[in-house]
Formats: sequence, structure tokens, C-alpha cells
Amino acid sequence: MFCLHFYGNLAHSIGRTICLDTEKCVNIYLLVEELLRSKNEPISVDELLITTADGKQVAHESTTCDLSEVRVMRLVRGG
Amino acid sequence: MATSQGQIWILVDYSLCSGCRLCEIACSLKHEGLIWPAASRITVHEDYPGCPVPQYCVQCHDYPCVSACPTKALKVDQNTGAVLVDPSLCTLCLSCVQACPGKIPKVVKGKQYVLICDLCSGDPACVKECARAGYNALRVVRKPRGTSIKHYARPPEMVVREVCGRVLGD
Amino acid sequence: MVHVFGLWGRLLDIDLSSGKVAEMRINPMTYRMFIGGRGLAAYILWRELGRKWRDVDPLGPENILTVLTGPLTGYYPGIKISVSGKSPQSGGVVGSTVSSHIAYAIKACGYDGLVIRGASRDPVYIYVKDGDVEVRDASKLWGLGGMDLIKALRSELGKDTPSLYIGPAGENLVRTAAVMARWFHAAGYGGYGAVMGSKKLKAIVVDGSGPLPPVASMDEFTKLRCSVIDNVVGRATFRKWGTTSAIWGVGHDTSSEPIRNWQEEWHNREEFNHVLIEWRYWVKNPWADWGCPLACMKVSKVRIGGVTYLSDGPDYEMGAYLGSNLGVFEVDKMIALSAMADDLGLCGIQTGNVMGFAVELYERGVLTREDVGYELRWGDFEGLKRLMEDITYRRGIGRVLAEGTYRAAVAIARMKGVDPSEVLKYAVQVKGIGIGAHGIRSRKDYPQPIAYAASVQGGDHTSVAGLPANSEESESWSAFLDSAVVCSFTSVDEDTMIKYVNAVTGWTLTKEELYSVVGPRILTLQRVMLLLGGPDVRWDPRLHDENPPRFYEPLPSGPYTGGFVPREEVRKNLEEYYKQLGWDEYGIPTEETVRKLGLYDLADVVKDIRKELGVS
Repeated sequence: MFCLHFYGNLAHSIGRTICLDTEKCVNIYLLVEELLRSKNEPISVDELLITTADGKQVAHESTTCDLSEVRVMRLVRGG
Repeated sequence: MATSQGQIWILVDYSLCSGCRLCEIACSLKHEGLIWPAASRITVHEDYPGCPVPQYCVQCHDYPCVSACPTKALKVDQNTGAVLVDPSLCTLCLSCVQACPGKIPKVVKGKQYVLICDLCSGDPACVKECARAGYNALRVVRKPRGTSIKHYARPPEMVVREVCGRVLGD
Repeated sequence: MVHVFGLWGRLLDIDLSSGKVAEMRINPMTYRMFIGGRGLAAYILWRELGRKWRDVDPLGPENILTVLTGPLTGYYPGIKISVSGKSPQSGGVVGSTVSSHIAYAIKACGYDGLVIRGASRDPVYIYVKDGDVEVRDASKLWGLGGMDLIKALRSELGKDTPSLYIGPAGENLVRTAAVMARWFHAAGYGGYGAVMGSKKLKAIVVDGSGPLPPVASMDEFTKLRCSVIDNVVGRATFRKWGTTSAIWGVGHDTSSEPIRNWQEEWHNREEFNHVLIEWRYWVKNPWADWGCPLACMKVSKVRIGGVTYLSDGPDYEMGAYLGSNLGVFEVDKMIALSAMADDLGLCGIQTGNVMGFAVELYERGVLTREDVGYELRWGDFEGLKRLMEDITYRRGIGRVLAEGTYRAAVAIARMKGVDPSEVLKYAVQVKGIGIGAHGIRSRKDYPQPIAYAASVQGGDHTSVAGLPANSEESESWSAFLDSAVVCSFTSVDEDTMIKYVNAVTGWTLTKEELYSVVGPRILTLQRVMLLLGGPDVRWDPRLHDENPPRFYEPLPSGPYTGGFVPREEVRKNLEEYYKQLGWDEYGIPTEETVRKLGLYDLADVVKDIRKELGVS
């Protein structure tokens, strides 16, 4: 079981928490990108900050086998 | 390393320079152990938007600073080609600054001797930092032969004017 | 605690009325409590002016202008300086940040910042060279725009020296005037350009030749700094296009870009695409600020009617507010207006906000040709140029609009003899501060429905409120970044940011403490000062913790047509947010909370505020 916690407006449109049964090890960034597309979210994964539960940025090569949950929010709040 | 490939030189491409000064920070961290831009041996000048000009010792073929030094505080590192300053001999008389066509040696409050790029013994910190930042405005090359490189040693305002003319058009 | 690494613990305290310069010591414990920058500004302003806050005229000599660094200044890639004081826009405290080389230069002089009081009779500029401070004559500089001023200072000082300055807008006490830096950078929110103008202070120039103070842990600092640089360098598309890409994306993709005073938020204007802007207008990319590997800036150049205009990007906010918000869809003209705003020393956001407001009022017949003297039309470059100049020089209708959107709305209502709400319904602002160019109606952009309504800095899009209050969504996070004084574009995850501050300072700050104590402390102090307000504005949370009326109109176009935010949801979220910060149901900090946060002298103040509002 791998869970994603969404923050802010992402939580509003995607849902606060989404848990998935992942049999294979999937790259977390690719997984989030896929989720964004399936929910028709108009932003890209580059615009997001994905961290572990304690606020550490998830490495780009991390997979769903390395972690059990992540937090997903907008990277830049400004601009 | 310099010893195996001969003397080196820092090649600059002004159009790639973002003006970020990470080179100045890296230089001062390396030489002074502190973030101390004024004591950096490389200085980025930017008098107009979008035309930053990094300047540092270009190791002229004839080293006018070395011959101008009355106390023999300056000498050429034969391995790298850099001008090395002996802090115990430098009197801050500024003869080297006057002799330099680009007025590049730096005098900074808190340092008892003139500051000149020493090429970090062949592995310049500024170049590494510029590469880390992905700009590669600075690159280490084998020192070019001849007198051409001396043309880089010009007063910053002159270089800035020319670079700006190219970027901004007027 | 005897020492804070990364900071000197002293500020320059300059009185422009008397010309006296003193040193203000800042206790290490104060830094630990308020971090620096924005938090320290609120602390100093409260300490110095708290008792008479309501009576302090932001444009009077009694106001204090603070120019402060923080523990991350100079150490963390992405340099900023915090500019603050009593805001002539909100009557509260706004921590306005701007990217400027002056930030490291101040630390290189052996100080953490400047506190500027009083007012000079004649135009002056402050020149700091290491330990020496001079208040110099600026009569020859007064009236100059940014470009000419930087040139004049360069020839007077003999070299390119970091500065903060104002253009004619600040001199003329325009409430939408910014404190400017390096041609195109502005500390816009708050209106501190007008505060500098009121002090007859044209510029602050700092030449620091010393090192930055040592850090607590060099090894940890070096490791973190390298990892942050690598992280930022990894943001390849941001580096390539900066925020210019948002001129296309925020409108086209997320439907949250102001168009014609927010009447719409979606566009499909191909010419707004950053790739086309890059090809057509950029003469320099990358272009970066001191110590920053992001290089979000780009220099663009256009020529219109024989005049050359130089601008950054334009960055997103300028592009949106001086482009689409004014119905300007010709990019060269958007760039020209952006360049003009920078040179005149105007905040492009606040000025674009009030200009769009004026054009809509004209369109609706509230303002007439008689009031304005010429026609106001969307996208009319010549007319808009004239309007921007009239605001800067307070000519004609510009005199009213120079007061900013909120005050202009109230004045126009009075002028027209109508109820203020009839005009305020077109004012897209919160608590005197025009809203940044990120709308909430589509819910596809970052600001939450309460982003602006609950912010202690009103419409400031860089300091938005949000739930949960113990995450980066909360305004505590902005308060932290603005107090550590670092750019939000280069900031990384919480864990790293907190470790970074600790590596520099030697503190043991934790995430829990940040969200439950330090952030709420800064926000609570700012909130109380905002609710006190004065002298000409007073905010009632029941009325003013609210979105502008326009945000309750459904979006009329684009993929999110019909989108809006329900009022009930805003109310519910506000109450939840207040609760999480330890404020009562009206958003007034409770006595228990202020005591818990160590803000003991606020206990009586919050009691009084509650009594005044009749909710005690």
C-alpha cells in the first residue's frame, strides 16, 4: 500500500489522501504525473514538491517500494 | 592537474555568464573560509542590466605586475602559470595594480597583501562552481600561447561597455 | 545563548530628522523568537511604535522604515532583503522582500540591517561604507527614474554599488510606489516606496567590503548549500523561462490570471507564450541575482515609437498586471509598460490593479471623460501610459488613483455620492492591498479560498494563508521564509530549510516549533497590528477577512467556466484556520495565545480590540 497526501487545492480536486496497491515498484514522480493526468489537473509534476511524511524532499529515483507515503503540494507559492 | 597538462588558463564566455556571483562566493570560501565577495580573486562587474563581466588575473605572457613589484612579493607559479603573492613580502604599495592593464589585483580591508587569482593550484574553485550551476561561463583550458590573452586584462568599465553594446545594442 | 552565528546582532539606527546614527543591538533571544527580516521588523515596529500604532501616519516622520537581512541572507542561494514599516496600504506591517545585492553588502558592513526614522527636510541618500554612515545630499538625484539614478550613483561613487531606491512615484508619495533595486526589482507590497519618499530618502547605497559572519557548522552548511544548488539547478524549465512561462500557463492552463480587472481569468493568447517571448524579445538569458543558480530573470528589450524599453522577462506578475489585466495583449507594449513601472518606481501589481480598476469604472460609466480628461480603454497603450504617468505625478485622476485601489474606491464613491460598496465591488483587493495575479476561482492555482482573506498581508500573493496551518500551505511558512529572508523560488522542502537555518545559526529549530510557535508568533503580532490599523483605515474581521466581491462571481470563460468559491466554505475555512492559530472565531488572537507565544504586552491589546468590536 502506497499513500499520497495532497495539500491545498490539490486536495480539493484530487482528494486529501489516495492509497494505491502497487505490486511493482513505480517511480513516485511518474506515478504522480500519471495521477495528475488522470484527474485532468492542468499542472505538471515539475511544479510540485513531493516530500516524505517528515518534510524531506523525495529523491527523483525513489519508487513506491522505498516509501509508504508521501506529501504532495505546489513547489512555488508565488511568482 | 596542472603538472601533467602544463600551465592552465580560465577561459570566459561573457554571453554565458548570468552574473550570479557564485564564482565569487566559491573563491572566497576556498581562500578565506568565509563568504567574502570583496576578497574574491574573481569579480563580476555589472553596470547595466544583462551584461555581467567576470574579471580575474589573465596571466599575461609578460607578467607586468611581477616585474613591477619592488619587493619581489609576486612570482609566477611555473606549474600553473598563476601569479603567487608572498604575504610576508607584499607591502600593499600598489605597484602591481598600476602595472596591470586591467587594474585587477585587489586590495581589501582586512587583508595585509594584494589578492590575485592563484588558479587554486590548478583546480579553480570558481570554474567548478560555474559548472555546478550549469553555466560553464568559465572553463579551464591549457594556457594559450602568445600575447592575445592580455587583451582580456582591461579596465572593467571598458569591457562592460563592449559587452553591453552587444547585448543591449546601445 | 550568547551568540547567533550568521548574524552580527546589530543594526544601524539612522534618524533622518537629526542626522544621528546609532547602533541598535538585537539580542540573540530576539532572533531566536522572531528569526529576522519580517519577524524582526514586526518586533521592532511594535517595540518602538506599538503604544501609539493607530496614530502613526505611515507617511509621517514618526514611521520607521526597516531594511533587514535574516539568518539565511547571503548563505542560502537566492538573496533577498526585507523592507518593512507601517504600511501606507494596509496600516499594518508588511514584510516586503526584494532581491538585491544590498542584502549581502549590509552584512559585509558588519550589520544585519538598517532602521530608519524621522524625515529629512531635503532629499538625501544614505551611504554606508563598512562602518561609516553618511547622509548625503540627493537634490541632484531627486526626480530621476531608476535607470538614470543608477547611472548617476555609479558616476558619483566611481563604481557599481548595491542600492535600494525610489523613483518619482515614491517621491510623490504614491501609495503604490515600490522600493526598487537593480533596475527591475521591487519590494512592492506595503507601499514602502512612499515611506522612503516621505522621509525624502532617495536611495540607500551600501558598500561592504568585509566577510559575512561565520556560520555555526561549516561542514553542515557546505553540504546543505551544495545540495540546494543541485536541487535548484535541476529545475531546468524554471531556469530557462523564469516566471515568464506563467504569463501563458496561469491564464491558459490554470485559469487564474487577471484579465481586464479580473473580469476573466482565462486566455488563449498564443502571443503570450514564453517561447515566443523568448525568441522575440529576450536579449539576455540567463540573468541571475547574487549567489543564485536559478537565474529566473531575463532581459527583454523592445522599441516603440523611437523609445527603447528594457525590462526583466517580464516576470509573471508584471506580464499579468500590466498586460492582460489592462487588456494589453501585445507583448511589446506589455514589456514597455513593465519597463515604465520599474523606471518610475511603481509596484507593477498595485499599479496595474488600480489602473485596471479605473478602466473598468470608465467602461461602466462610473468614471467619465470629464473625470479623467481622456478616454480609458482596455489595451490602449497611449492612454494607459498616460494614466501610469498621471498616477506617478499625481496629476488629475492620478491624484485619486495614487492612493491605491481601496482608498481610490472610497474617494470615488464620495466624489460620485454613492455608497462605497457600489465602487468597492470592482476593487480586487483585501485590506488595502491589491491581490497578486493568482486567482482562486478555478482552484487550479496555488492560493486556497482563504489565501488572501486570512493573510496578515492582505492581497499579497507571496504570503498566502492556507490550511492546514502546520504545513507549507500555511502563512507561517511564508513568514518563516521572509524572516529567514530567502527567495521562495529557491526554497526547498521544510526539512532542509530548517536544517539550513540551524547550520547557519546554531539553533535547534524544529518543524513543530516552527508551526506551533515561531510562525504563529510572527503572524499573531502582524495580525494584531493590522487589526489596530489607523490612522485612516480600520479593519473589521467580520467584514474585511473576505474575498473581493469579484471572486464570488463565477468565472465567465475557459475550461473552468462557472468556477467560484462558495462563501460558506470561505467562512468555514477561516474559522478552522483561526482555530489552528489560536485565534478566536473572529480571528482575534486570544489572550491565552499571545501569552503562550511570549507576546505578553499584547494581552491587553487583544482584549481592547475585542471590546471595540463588541465581541468581548
